[in-house]
Amino acid sequence: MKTQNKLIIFLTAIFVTYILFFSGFIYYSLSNYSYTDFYKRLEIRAVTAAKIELENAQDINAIKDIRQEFLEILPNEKIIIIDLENSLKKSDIKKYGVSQGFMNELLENGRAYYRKDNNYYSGITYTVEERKYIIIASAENYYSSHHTVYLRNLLVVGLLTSCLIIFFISYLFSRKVLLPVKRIVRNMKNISTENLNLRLQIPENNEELKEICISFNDMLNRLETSFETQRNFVSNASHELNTPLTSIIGEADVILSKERDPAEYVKSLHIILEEAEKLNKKTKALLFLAQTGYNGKVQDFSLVRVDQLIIDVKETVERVYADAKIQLDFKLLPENPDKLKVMANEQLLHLALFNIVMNGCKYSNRQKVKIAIGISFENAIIIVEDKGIGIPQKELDFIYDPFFRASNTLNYDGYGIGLPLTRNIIVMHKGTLRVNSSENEGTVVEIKIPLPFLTKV
Amino acid sequence: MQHILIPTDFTVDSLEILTIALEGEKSQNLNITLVYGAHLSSSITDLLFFSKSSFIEKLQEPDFNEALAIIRNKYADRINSLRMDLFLGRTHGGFRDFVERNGITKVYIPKSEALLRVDGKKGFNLLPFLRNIDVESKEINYNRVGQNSNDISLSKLLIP
Repeated sequence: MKTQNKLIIFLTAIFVTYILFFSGFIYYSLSNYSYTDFYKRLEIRAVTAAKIELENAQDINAIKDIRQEFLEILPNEKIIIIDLENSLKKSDIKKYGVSQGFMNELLENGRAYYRKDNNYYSGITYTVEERKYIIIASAENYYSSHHTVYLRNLLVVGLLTSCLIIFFISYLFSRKVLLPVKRIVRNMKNISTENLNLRLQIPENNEELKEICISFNDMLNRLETSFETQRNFVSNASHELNTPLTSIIGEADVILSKERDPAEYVKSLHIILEEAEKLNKKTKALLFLAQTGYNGKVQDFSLVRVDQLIIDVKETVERVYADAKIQLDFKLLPENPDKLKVMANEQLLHLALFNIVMNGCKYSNRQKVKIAIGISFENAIIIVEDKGIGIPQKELDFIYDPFFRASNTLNYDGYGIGLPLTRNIIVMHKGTLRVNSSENEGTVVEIKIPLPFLTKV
Repeated sequence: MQHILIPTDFTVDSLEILTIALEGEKSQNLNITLVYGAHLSSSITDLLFFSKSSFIEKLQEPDFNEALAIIRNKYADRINSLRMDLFLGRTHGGFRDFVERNGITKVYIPKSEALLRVDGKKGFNLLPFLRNIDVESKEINYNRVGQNSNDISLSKLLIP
């Protein structure tokens, strides 16, 4: 069932039940009141009749006048006066049209009410000069019976009308409430694999829907990234696998260029083997990255010494670019070497740093690249600074887009994959990556990787 | 035990004075106080809710604490304590009191004026006060790396 219909039925049911109870209460208490009121009126008539008939005082005329003037004649009005000196017979009681119970109550309490069909009886006892009388006034309750019927009809009509009105209002209400949801659904339908870059508009003043939209957009972000990673896997792989391959080919080329000592062959075969192993590791890591996408869970994390990692990266880069000038700055290393360890997947983090340092060398035409490490209480901080061509200010926002290449990089080889990959890896390590650059002056990259909990101070 | 007083402006740059001082000191167990001269607000509500730590926090550059932590890790064995303080007075006498109360034994003063950033309304230049006290003082060359727009301020500390 549609939520809208549910809402309508729910709202209408609640309101109708409420109104039903309300009008029932009004009907009941009003008719009750009208009975009591009518008995009272009959009683007044009985009292006046007793005064007129039984007392022989002089102001009887005045009472008569009052009765004539103010007490209208009720339909089927009858007043019976019974002298109690004569014994009361059962047949008499029947003749008056009242029940025995009424009589008993009357004699006991001096006042009683009785109703038979639409005839109402109100009785009192009256004592004049030691003689006891019973006066019974009776009449048809024409007005109140008609009033209650009228009231009942009025309430029923009101109930039906309010039902309609409530139905209409709850229809409008549910439509208004569900309209943004409908709109979101319509927008969602527009998003498919072809246009994953589309995002839902976030409603301004609806907190719940805002949350839904934000989480949906977040989900889209993750989806888009993993789609992107999947899609670019081939290019990523070729880019990353190319570097060890270049080393291997370069090494083989150099060694084959002329006859050499066996020792040199062994040395260079070692290098080739080492690179091939790295290639193997990288393939596995990349496959892993593509499988796990952006927020991968299963990684081989172990404690890695940051300074060792940097030295490894430096060596790898120098093997690719023999003329690279990389200056390590370890002067602010902490005294306690335990603090240099971070939880990381060594291959991936190596890959990430390698990409950054390679970029530094590449885009500065092998000028000096400085790498520095600092360990604070929470993070291991690695700064890589080059004096290269930099990144134009307005393009800084796009550097993490796969395949994006800054406008000033036309003369350099590249695919625009290294930096997004690096960021994925850093995010996987729960770290942050910041890039600051000004065109033709150089680039500063700051990587922060949180220290494992145990070594924190 | 040495207690060193070093002026600061809560920028990563200014921590260079601290590193110079730490390099220059031979003794272990250093107590260090970084000091900043600040005016107290004259508004009664400001005074009521005045808190030294949040005042300092507002003055600090985003990476300041991280940079300070790097230095503390580097000289972990030699630094006994390091704290940041405000001098809220206005007179030279008051500053002498401040120095005496904190048991300062040595003060480092950068040679050139106006290198420390002094926030016009909130702070004032402490250097004249520093020169006017009776404890051992040492003038050092501190040259700000330069006010480039680089927002990775840690690089200024790590890569001079």
